[in-house]
Amino acid sequence: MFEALKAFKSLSPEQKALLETKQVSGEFEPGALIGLLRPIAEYDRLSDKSRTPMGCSTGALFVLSFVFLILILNEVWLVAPLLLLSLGGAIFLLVTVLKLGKLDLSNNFRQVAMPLFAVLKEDMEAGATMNVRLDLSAPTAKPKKTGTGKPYKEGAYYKVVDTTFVDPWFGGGTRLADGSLLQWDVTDDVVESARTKKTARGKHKTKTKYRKLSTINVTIALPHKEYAVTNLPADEGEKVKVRESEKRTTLKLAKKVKSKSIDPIAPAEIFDIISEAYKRVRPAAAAGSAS
Amino acid sequence: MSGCECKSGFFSLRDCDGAPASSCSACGRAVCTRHLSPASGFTECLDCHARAAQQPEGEPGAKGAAPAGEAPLDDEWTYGARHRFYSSGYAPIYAGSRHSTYYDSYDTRSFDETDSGGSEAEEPAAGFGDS
Ligand SMILES: [Zn+2]
Ligand SMILES: [Zn+2]
Repeated sequence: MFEALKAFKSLSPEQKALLETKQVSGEFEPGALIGLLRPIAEYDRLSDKSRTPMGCSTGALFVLSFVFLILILNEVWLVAPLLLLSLGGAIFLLVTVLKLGKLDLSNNFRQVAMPLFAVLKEDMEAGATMNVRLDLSAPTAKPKKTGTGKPYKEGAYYKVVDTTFVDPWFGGGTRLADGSLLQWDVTDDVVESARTKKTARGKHKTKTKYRKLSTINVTIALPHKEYAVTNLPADEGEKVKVRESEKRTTLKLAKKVKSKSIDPIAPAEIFDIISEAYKRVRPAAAAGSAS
Repeated sequence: MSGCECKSGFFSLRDCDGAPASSCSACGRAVCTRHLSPASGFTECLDCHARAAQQPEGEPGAKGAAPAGEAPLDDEWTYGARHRFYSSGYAPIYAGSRHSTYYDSYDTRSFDETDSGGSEAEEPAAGFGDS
């Protein structure tokens, strides 16, 4: 946990501000953007890791304080300084846990967005910039909530309540080194399902489950100068639209990825859909030889 | 051929205009400073080092994913991801004129390749044609 606090202290004012607003938007050189986000990602990873053990330690310290208090009430004065110590520690930890909890970020940005930046950087001219809109806040943050369904029954669960969230967390655009214009956006539709059942011992237990549908839209305009289009049917779960203009072929690609967890999609899902555009072209010089 | 012989790019390969600083101890290509792999002690190119590093795992069909957000996301990572991506079925495209046989193992679609009708590209490349 001290690692997490240390990581937080080493953030620049700009990075701390990003942690507050949780919104990245503007024109960035991908390497610089990775540099800006990496310490935030590292801090987030450490704070994710430390929150549970810290919560447990907080609880343990409060219990210990209570024991000391009982002893003091029984006139064991010796433990008085220990009570101060354990209570102080418990309060410090509680405040820290709450602080770390408040800053909880979506895992999407470090597991999906940052790898995409690194990959696009390789396809961009050195020093070129991209336009990025990135929401760092958790997919189930309050402002993303769109509704709560009526409770219903399902199997052993006598009460299931579904809450829906829409998280349009990621978008951007850039010009690639081959002259192509790329735009992308990713929106997650999340259903949080709180399921309550009665156990054999008569206790009420609630489990939270997630379902997620990620919609990835990619538009890429490939210059005729470089590429000639070939025809290819769309893969399963994908949609492809092709539009020709004087200088470019524009491909609109969409893909939906379903998952039964709130975990980030594999970044390769985005690489795949971008590659679908490139699979549909061949080097322009060779276009004449296509049959 | 006077420049660095490594190709830049992820979805599409392109020529690198860097000045050769050394030659790769594995493939012998002339390589600029940017395309020398720091992890290999600057003896191999990023491509060769990525291929060598991937060999033991070789998980077929693995999506070219980053290990849960802890990757350094430097050039070394990008060339590793690129190698995985090409090995998992994406044949990169190369629209330039300095065709390099080095990338033929990925079934790279270049002018030379597509021109010949591409029948000889069937042969799987050593190291990852295991499926
Ligand atoms: Zn090499
Ligand atoms: Zn180079």
